[in-house]
Amino acid sequence: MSSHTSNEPLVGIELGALRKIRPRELVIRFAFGAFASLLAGCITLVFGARAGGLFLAFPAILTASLTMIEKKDGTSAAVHDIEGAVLGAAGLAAFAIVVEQALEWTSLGWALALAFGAWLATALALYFAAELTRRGIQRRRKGSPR
Amino acid sequence: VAKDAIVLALKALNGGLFVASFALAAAALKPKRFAGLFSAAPSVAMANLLVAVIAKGHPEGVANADGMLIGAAAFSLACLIGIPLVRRWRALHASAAICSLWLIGAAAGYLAIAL
Repeated sequence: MSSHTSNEPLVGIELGALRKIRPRELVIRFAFGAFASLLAGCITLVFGARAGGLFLAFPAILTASLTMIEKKDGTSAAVHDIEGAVLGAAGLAAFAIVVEQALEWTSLGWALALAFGAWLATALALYFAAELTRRGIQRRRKGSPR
Repeated sequence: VAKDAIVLALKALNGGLFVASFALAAAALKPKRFAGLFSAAPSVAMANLLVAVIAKGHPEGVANADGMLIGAAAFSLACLIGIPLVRRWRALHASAAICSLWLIGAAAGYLAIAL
């Protein structure tokens, strides 16, 4: 992990950042999502639903965002983004497990809601654990005599 | 064939909308490491499962989710390897490498389990 520190809060919202997003950037993200979904659909038709399911975890948002983040906020911000994505990706496994089980006994709406909750809970738990550990180590390093 | 084409079109439209929405959510969050969680949000999964299960029933969704588990493992691995790549290369090249790594990992995982 990079050495960016922090006194900044663990979680924050900056709605003003949305005003800086250009329509072209949204169109690119839409295109990535549409392409990944189309690919998943085509693979399902040709090779079956299990093979198509692989593409439900295609890194569509990440690849669409990394270049734009680097351009706007620099390499360090892009590194931070992918560090977060590692934890979010672990949450995707929780999403897949929960949706697979939940579809056996409940409706689609509930299955998706439960699975999204599992993704969010896993990703947040890993993020807080990793971030608090990283900040603790940084504080100890700063406090120790050189 | 016509039904399959409609289902594909709906999946594509839905996928685009979900990915753009999650990307917007990520743009409003800070710090960047926290926003990064949403770069791996289940956007394509939710978009596809919604259409797939409505069109073809629960067994289709269960089989999709089974494959997704392998894809998710490949995603984590590709991101881990991708961290030093983003530091060393430009993000565009690193993104291409991450996609390739993901594809290799997902295909290898799928073949290992299927064969």
